Amino acid sequence: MARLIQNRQRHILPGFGLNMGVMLFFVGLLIVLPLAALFMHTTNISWSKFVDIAQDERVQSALKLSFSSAIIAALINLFAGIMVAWVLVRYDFIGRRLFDSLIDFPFALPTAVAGMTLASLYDHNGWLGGLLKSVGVQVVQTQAGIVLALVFIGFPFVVRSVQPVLADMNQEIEQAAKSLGANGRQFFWRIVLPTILPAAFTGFSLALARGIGEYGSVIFIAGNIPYVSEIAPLLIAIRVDEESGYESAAVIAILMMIIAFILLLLGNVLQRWTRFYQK
Amino acid sequence: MINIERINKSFDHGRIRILEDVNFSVPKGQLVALLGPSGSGKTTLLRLIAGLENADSGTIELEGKPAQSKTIQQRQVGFVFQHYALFRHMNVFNNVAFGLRVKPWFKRPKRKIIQQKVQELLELVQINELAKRYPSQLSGGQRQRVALARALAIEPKILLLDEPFGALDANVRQELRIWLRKLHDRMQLTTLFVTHDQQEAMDLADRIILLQKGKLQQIDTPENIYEKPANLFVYQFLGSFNTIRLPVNNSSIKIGHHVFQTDRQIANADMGIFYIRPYHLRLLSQNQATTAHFYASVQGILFNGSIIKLQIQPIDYLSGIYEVTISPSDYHAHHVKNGAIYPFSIQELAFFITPQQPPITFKTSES
Repeated sequence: MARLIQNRQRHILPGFGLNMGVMLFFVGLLIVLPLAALFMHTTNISWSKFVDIAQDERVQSALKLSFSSAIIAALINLFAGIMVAWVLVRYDFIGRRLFDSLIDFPFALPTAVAGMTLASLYDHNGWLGGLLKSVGVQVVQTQAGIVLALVFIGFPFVVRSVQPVLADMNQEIEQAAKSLGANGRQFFWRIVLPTILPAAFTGFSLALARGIGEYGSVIFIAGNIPYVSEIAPLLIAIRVDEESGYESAAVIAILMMIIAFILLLLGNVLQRWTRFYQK
Repeated sequence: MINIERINKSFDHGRIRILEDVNFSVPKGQLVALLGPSGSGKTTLLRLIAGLENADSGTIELEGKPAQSKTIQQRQVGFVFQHYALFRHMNVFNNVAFGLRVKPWFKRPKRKIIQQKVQELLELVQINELAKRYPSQLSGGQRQRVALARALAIEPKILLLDEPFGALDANVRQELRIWLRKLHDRMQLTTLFVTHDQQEAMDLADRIILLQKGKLQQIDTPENIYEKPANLFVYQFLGSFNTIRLPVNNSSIKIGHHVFQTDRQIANADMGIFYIRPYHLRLLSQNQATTAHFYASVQGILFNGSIIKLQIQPIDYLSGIYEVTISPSDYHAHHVKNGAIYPFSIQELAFFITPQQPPITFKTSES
């Protein structure tokens, strides 16, 4: 017994026990408990019924729409976010601070307000929507509109993840690359991109997670036409309101959770893989 | 070969002058130290040569060709940064290969040749077993070697190093100095390195360029710069010294009844400041007491490896505390003890008529 205690690893920084306790408490109370409750609801659904609901065409199209939109939006945010972070860190221009603080705006705005604003802007009568209609592009009531809303609300994630890493990149690194003969493009592709990739994937994962669950901003612009522009979170809300639809809502929720979990896990693996050199 | 003419550089729209009318040239094949206290402009000068900064005026020639119209990339100068600036997401091999891989496609060596070249470079800097490691897994000395190999990969004629040993342990530093000297000779490079450490400059360089506050103070061999300093700053910067205030009469001074003089004509002064190097104060044995200039008690003994520093307080003629350096063999022969009194002689004193001129030496006429 005495040996066991002696062998226990001593931590130099104090507070491990307390912090671990707080972490477990919060993760347990805020994340695991609600999820467990959700699973409990599905336990009294028979497997055949579960499969029936899952194979329902409306459910499937809603899930497909939700996840494909979230992935497309997160990818757009990945590229745009890297570029925006690059500009904000590398160049000094008038209004840089203003732009910098505007980045966080989508987080602060109530999602419903964002949705309504986007909807009225891109509506046939709205001034951007009217313009797009004249060239034959429709945003409202299509997947394009959903992606647009998700890009909007997920925009800050990649920018804010990449920005500190870029700012941290020593100026000497760039000078070293140039003194070895690298041009600007080679410097970006060979040095900058590999350095910021882990952070960029972190931002991508966050934007993806946010996009999968997003509801408020999407429903205003999507038009919510079943089989066409109805997202899974909305379908859940509709089913909950329906009598005896509660089971169906739980099944859709479980399916969403499983797919989201797999996607986020993949994102995490990607992130690890690009961080190889820090081990 | 590096040729620098009338280089001026200021920061903050001319408010802070970094370099003022600096001229020098480094002949092909020499290893030259750019020495100066911090803020003397030495690093800026190095960065100007590499093309990392632009001069306000003046010309820079590398290998006989004007360099200022060329970009950093075109100058083909090997530059080793103070903190190495290694690419941390690349292993050692890829770091070294970088300069070869970013060459335009028509000049880029084949894969196999890059492989072979990098291998040779790693062998040259004696770290071939570390090829697959990442910078975060290396010690300071190893990182320094990687940085050097990486800079040498582009086959520069000129190698520039910014405080190359600044961040290393004393013994690693010593080892790398010797190794850099050998490397320089073997590769037939023209090397310029920045340092604030006069000992390092003395140990390593063929010639020393001494800068202070953006102005060139002296360019000379380590021997000359030490023994024939161009001005007071050089004298003070290159080693420790003692000062004595004495009246000057007829180009001579008196310490007790001993006269020290110079053959130069010097105006009489009530109080001239005289400088004495610690090794120009000699500890004498008791039977040499007849040639003693003064007696002093030992107040402190500092062991500094190959030399021993004594702090002495004269008991006659002079006042204050002086530093004397003696060899360990003298230390043992004279049985030096704290508090004991010994005879000392002064071999020479240096006097500066103005701080901008070389010193005048005062010696005793007694044999």
